[in-house]
Amino acid sequence: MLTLFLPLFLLVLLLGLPVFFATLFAPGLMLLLSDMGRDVPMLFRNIYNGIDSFPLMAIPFFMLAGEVMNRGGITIRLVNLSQVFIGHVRGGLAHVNIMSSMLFAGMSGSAVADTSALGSMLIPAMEKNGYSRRFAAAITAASSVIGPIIPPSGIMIIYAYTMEVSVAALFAAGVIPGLLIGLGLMAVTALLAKKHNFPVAREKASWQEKGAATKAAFLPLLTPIIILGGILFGVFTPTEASAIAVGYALVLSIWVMKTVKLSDLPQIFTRSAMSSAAVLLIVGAAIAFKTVVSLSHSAEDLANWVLAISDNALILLFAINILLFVVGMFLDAGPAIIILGPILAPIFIQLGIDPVHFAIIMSVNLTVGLATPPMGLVLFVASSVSGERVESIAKAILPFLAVEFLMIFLITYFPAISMTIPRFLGLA
Amino acid sequence: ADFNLRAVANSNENDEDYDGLVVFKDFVEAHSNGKISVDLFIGTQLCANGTECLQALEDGSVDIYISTSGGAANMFPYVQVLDLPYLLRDDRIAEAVLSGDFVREMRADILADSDDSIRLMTIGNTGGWRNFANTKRQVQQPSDLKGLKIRTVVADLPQELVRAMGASPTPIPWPELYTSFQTGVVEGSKNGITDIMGMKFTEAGLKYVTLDGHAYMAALWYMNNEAFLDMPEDLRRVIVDGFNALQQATFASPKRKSIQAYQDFNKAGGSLYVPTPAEKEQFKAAAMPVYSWFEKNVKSGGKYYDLLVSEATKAEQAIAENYKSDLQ
Amino acid sequence: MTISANMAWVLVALMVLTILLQVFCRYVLNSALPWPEEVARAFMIWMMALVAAQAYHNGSFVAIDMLHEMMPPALARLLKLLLLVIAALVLFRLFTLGLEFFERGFRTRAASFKLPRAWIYLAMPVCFGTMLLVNIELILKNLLGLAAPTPYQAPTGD
Ligand code: NA
Ligand code: NA
Repeated sequence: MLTLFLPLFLLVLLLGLPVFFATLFAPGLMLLLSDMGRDVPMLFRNIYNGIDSFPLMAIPFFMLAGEVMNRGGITIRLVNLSQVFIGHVRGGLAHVNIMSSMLFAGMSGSAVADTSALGSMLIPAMEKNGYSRRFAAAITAASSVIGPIIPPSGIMIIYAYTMEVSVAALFAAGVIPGLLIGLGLMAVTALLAKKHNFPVAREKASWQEKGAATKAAFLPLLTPIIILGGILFGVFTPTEASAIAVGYALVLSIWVMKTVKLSDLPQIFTRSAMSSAAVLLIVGAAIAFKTVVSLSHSAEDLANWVLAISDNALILLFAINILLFVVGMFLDAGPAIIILGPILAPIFIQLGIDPVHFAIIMSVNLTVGLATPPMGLVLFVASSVSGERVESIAKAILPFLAVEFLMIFLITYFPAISMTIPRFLGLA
Repeated sequence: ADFNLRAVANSNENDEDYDGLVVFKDFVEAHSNGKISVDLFIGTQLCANGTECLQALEDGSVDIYISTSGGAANMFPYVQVLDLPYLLRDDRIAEAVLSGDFVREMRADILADSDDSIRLMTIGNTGGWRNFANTKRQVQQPSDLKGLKIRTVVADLPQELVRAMGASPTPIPWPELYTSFQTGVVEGSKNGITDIMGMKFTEAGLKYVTLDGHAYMAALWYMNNEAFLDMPEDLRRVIVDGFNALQQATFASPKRKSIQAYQDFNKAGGSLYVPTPAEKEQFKAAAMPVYSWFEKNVKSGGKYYDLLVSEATKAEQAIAENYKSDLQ
Repeated sequence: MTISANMAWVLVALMVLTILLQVFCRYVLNSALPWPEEVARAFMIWMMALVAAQAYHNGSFVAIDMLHEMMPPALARLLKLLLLVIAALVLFRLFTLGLEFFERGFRTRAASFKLPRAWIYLAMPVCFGTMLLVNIELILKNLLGLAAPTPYQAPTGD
């Protein structure tokens, strides 16, 4: 009886109940109907306890750091830097869009922040340059998923928190896959550029221009070095590093670059508080949901069922990638990780897959899910930033999704892509 | 089964707590002729720490739970009496005290402070004894600890103890402790040997252990009072006997497990120091401020300090009496 | 900005300062403080509680609405009403559980400062209570056929 909470959850989700409510309503109702009303308070307590966590605090801080940098004009400097280096090739602005996302990813942990920050700047610019608006929105959404793959990453913080893996190891493991996806997107863009004769953005930049743009972006570009260096070499905890990132961004934009006024801060802080609140509540609800998964023993049942189909890790990994891709279409990455991580990871660890490698497979796959319809969060953001309909962006994004899906399989079947850096640093 | 009990331990399957639960489950399921079943939840699936799990126990969504004294300190501060250093001489004394009326006295107070919902069933062990360990030097007497940054949990008593030794208490979450040793954020900790080796702290430089045995790593086992009282008396007896078997199992388990841990510690290049009786007296003298702090600042502190001391004395006398015949 | 939003941004600032203070004490002064972590967590929970209602109102709680777009508008509105009622039931239960949670919090003390945990737990009924008010507002709007979202003025003082 209790196990019916899983189909009920899917049903109300598809009917359009917000994820937060669906995550609580389905298990709550089934507990009541299974005469387990005494467990409803436990559901509540786990919402609270899911949120009351120090590691999770890094998420609001990285969101805030991104917000400050964006308001402080750091995003513009990154775009300019990309422009002078790659703007002159065919499809220049499309490449700039991707490269900016890769640079932005080193400071921001969220794909949504990437889409709204870069999209509001680059989509109009690309349109003016002769691209269709839906193509501009699609490339923005597709490249924004690099944000949470290259560290820092809100999704990896959530994974590390629920699965008790080291955040440092996951961050280290995300670097190469993130760069690889960026290069893959650039390759598709180059092909499309040739075929459709995309415009170039500008003439080749002189060394002076290159120097000036690099100098302007230099201090912001130190952020990922401070954050990652601190975390990877064990100097700070990720939460401390995230607070330092906020402090550094504030100092840069208020006192060094003088692009943000102290009086702007209340608005910036409130905005990040609001986006954090929604994330925190959903994480709490998903932790509560996970409790009912444990109570119902559905994880063990599912694991036995999966292993009965096959115990060949390579075949199961293939199947799991398809499953995660589908799940990613309907569920946000955070809740999907909290709910599915504890069910799936033990199966694969038992089959000899490294926990860090599996974490990356899962994180990358669900991150790409952020750009897939119907529930792709960044598609909605790209749509609201560009004014283009979600459906038409969804169509234009298909070639990019195809290359991202291909990258997922490369990452899955070549562990060295993700494991080299963490192994080198002694983190895995 | 007529009674399904949900038991939670926040540790893992290598822990003494798990050994105890396995014995308990087997005992009560067999001796109740299947009328009682026990479902084990190991780890943080239902609740993740002392405060949460004790609240879940109060609600009745968890029936059986084990916490350390630190884990219950926010709700029942007097349980920290078990963390007071150097009051229990060795395993024999500790086991005699924890098998006596001390537990019954504490049960009454915990029941009263939880509106009759949490029942202390027994107190066992989880990990032997806490010792001072550090990355810097061999510690032979309290003055050797001076200036070292020692990791403690976020609780008053262990911090007072570290301060009393002239060292500086540093709260670090358990999962971050390994890298904190590596980077020198902390230079020492107070842990049992099985935890030190379980976390491979020697690889992070934790090489000096002093067997001062400053605290017995007590494990408090609770049950939801209503779940207990709802059972007929014959089954309650099975439960009580089951907790007794569990207690014996957790007394024995760390002794067995520490053998391998000490061998591994030596192999990893660790250096072990056993303080002389005179040095142990110095440690005890240095810890004096902690006793007065406890009596003054903790609810029922005086009562529990006196009780533990008198029970320990009683046990020492009984054992001394036994030696008279056992040694001849 | 509303009073609750003002309190929230101050809490965000305090969170940052608390953690930076901790970093400073640990790495520069070489002596850690026992309280910053727990205090920062309390700030975070209150921050969330104070803006959750507004975030809910602004549509930050994502849902799949592809079904709604395929339906006749009248039916879609009816379905939306049903979902809002479900959300209201969930929020109501969370609110009452939150009140019980708060009352029980007087029995537990924070680990690193001398305050009952109840004052942290109070954030939960505040969070779900204010979200419930927004939810009721959304139900009323649905009933009146005012589906279009309007800028939200949260009741002050909550
Ligand atoms: Na990132
Ligand atoms: Na982009």
